[in-house]
Amino acid sequence: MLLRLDDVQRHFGGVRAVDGVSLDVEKGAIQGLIGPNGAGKTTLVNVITGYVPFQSGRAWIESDQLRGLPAHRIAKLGIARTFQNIRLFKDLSALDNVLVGMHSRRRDDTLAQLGTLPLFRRDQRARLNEAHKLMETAGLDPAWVGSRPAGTLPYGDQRRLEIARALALQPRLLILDEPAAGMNPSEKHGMRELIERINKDGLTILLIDHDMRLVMGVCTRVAVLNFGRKIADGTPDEVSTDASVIKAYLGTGGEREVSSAPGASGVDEATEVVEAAATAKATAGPEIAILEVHELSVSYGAVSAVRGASLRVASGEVVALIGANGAGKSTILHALSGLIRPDSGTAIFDGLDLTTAKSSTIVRHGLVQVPEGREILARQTVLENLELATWSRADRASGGQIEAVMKRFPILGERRAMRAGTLSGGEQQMLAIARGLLAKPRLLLLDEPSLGLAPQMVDEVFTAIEEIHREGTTILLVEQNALRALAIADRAYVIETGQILLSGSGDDLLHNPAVRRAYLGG
Amino acid sequence: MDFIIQLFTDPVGFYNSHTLLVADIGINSILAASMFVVLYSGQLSLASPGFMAIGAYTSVLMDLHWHTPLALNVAMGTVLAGVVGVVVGLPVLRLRGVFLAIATIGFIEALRLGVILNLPITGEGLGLQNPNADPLGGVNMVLVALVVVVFLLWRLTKGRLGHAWAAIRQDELAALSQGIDVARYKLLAFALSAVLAGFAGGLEAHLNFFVDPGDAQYGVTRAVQILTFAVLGGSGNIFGPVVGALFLTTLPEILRFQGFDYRDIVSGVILIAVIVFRPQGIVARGGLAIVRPRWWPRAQPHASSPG
Repeated sequence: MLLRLDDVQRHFGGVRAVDGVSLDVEKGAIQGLIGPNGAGKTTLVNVITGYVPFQSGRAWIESDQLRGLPAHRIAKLGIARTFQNIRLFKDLSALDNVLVGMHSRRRDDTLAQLGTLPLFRRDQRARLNEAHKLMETAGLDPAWVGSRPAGTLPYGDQRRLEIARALALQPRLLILDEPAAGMNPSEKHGMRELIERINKDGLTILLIDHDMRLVMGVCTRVAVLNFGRKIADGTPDEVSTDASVIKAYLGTGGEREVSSAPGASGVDEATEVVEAAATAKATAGPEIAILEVHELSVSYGAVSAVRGASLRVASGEVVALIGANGAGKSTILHALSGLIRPDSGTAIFDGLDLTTAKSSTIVRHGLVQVPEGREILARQTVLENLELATWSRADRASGGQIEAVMKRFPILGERRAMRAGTLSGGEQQMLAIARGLLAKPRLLLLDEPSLGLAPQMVDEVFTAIEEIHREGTTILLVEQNALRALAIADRAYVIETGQILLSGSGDDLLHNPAVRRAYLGG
Repeated sequence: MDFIIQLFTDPVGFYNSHTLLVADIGINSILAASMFVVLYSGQLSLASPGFMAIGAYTSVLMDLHWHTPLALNVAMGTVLAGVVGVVVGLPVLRLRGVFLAIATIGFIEALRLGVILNLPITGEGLGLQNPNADPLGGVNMVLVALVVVVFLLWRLTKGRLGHAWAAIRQDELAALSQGIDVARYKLLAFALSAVLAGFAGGLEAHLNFFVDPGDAQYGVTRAVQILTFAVLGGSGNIFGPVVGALFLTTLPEILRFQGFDYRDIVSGVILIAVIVFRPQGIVARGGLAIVRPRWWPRAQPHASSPG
């Protein structure tokens, strides 16, 4: 056993981020670690690598105990890691980044280098050679990349460089935290080859990623976390058909049985996909749309997030946009709200060109986004949060309107004088939606309203969404909790790696195995 | 303008008639080097004037009371500054960014207002007479010291220590993941900065017949002045702050012509221009390229990328 975790716990306040996880990683394995957003994967990695202290439990790498050691000591013990949001030394050259990685096994030459001693020179030459080899291993061309500042490299190369830097530690275990995030399919394929190559050289790898094709394809074993607990552990095949895993990923359809999960029904999947594709054409969208998006492409610098997405929303509909983490759902919403500008494509909302209009104009035109993570003002009271939402409104005669919103969400009325930060997650979500309603939306964009909520709170939030819809507001809903979203949606679009994979009515997609595949791969 | 003309037509005469300016440049450059060490390791510390004061008072008081040789006095001041640097650094380096800056300002003001202005031995607010000062002879010593300091720091930044500092400056969390003991290396940088400042303080005291405990000497004003050397010159390598010190120390002399009272304004405008157009400083990677700020008008790219 190379890495052994025994009942590791880490809570943040009342949040049990990691709640008693035990895990064995065999030497030479590629161990996958997956789980929905907020499952505790990164926290677990941070505990293992010493960035966050253990609350309880123990961990060993071979015979070395990890608990209580500072991060740099754990790195020295041979646990190298990469970071979810690349943490290169941006202004240092790519070569220097790799050289820094050799720090812990490099002799302290501080005095030697004060004179340009031949010894120092010889060592330095050996180090440079090794750094070149490591970059080549990671698939980088040292001649082209070596002297450039790491921050200026293309995105995929930065990911590779981070791996080269980690390899410079000569680790016993390499932890990769979402190495393929934001990559296009061909880059992902390259990353998969790289992972397999370094594993073949004998390095044990712990891989976290949301791309199930990658994880299921490359890992020998996969462990699944949900709400800080390990809910499954086994071979990729065992895990991807495990009912509790499917439930964790796709959510539950409220009162619906878990057995209705797509792909769990035992129907021949191949025909169903074909059929779904056929119906997808037929239900491509309503004739008259209030929102019309055509071939929208958005990128963050070098990272392409949305690639030619088209969708339509008719007045009075609930349309769901579902897909795994990082598929590009939120990016589409941000582009519609004018928060980021698309590279190409059009987006028209009731005659307004969303690709050029200012975001304040867009809101006044009736398109309102309730952001992921709620973004409420934690130190202000509930009432103050709502009052601020009406601040920019010309009519300002909003006292009655706030009362109306509080009637719609009675819990907000009861807590009007409390600081918003003291509300529960579900109540905060209600507040965020209420704030959105005060802007008098005709089209309400909801971004992950169920994120991080306990199941019964999810029920309440979805009930509220359905009621708002019944009162005449059109809704575009982004959700990871696919089954839940499909249950209330008139139509839905499934998005994967920035592209619309298929679309159809909510009911059709509920039984379409392709949905499960978009989430869990296969 | 006479100033610059003389520099080219009669360098020897220039050196002899501007000894104090040359010495000032040297001292300020060593102080800039002291600032460089902390900035290079990613710490915004403004403590240098405090360590300067320790170096200066230690050196002058040893001379006054024990009549020990200059080299020993300056060495003792330097060592003491380093020791205080470690003692102050241990608690203070838990802070980052602007909070560290505020804490170090607290340190220098507490030292100056609380200790130096209240102890009989430091002359309280009146300062110290330093009859054995040698302004003219001291200048050569200062220049030699500057060359040595710059050389040592240049070499240090090229090796394991320098790599560790640069890594910490760029990203502490990532540095930890590479096995770098961040706390230890930060303390090392802070202490080395204190040593250099103490050294500069001891040298400077030897150039003046009077040790002045004023704000412009050992207070916040001096701290900000030293920081501007590094901001103007850039802190990517040791030569940046030294060039900054050279430039900002000389500029008031260049502008010292009849009836011109706006020297500080000119310095301020130049500083702002550098921050806007060349935020990495004058001496930095990228040669003489000028960075255009985001809002600066530029040609719009037309074609969008395919796909």
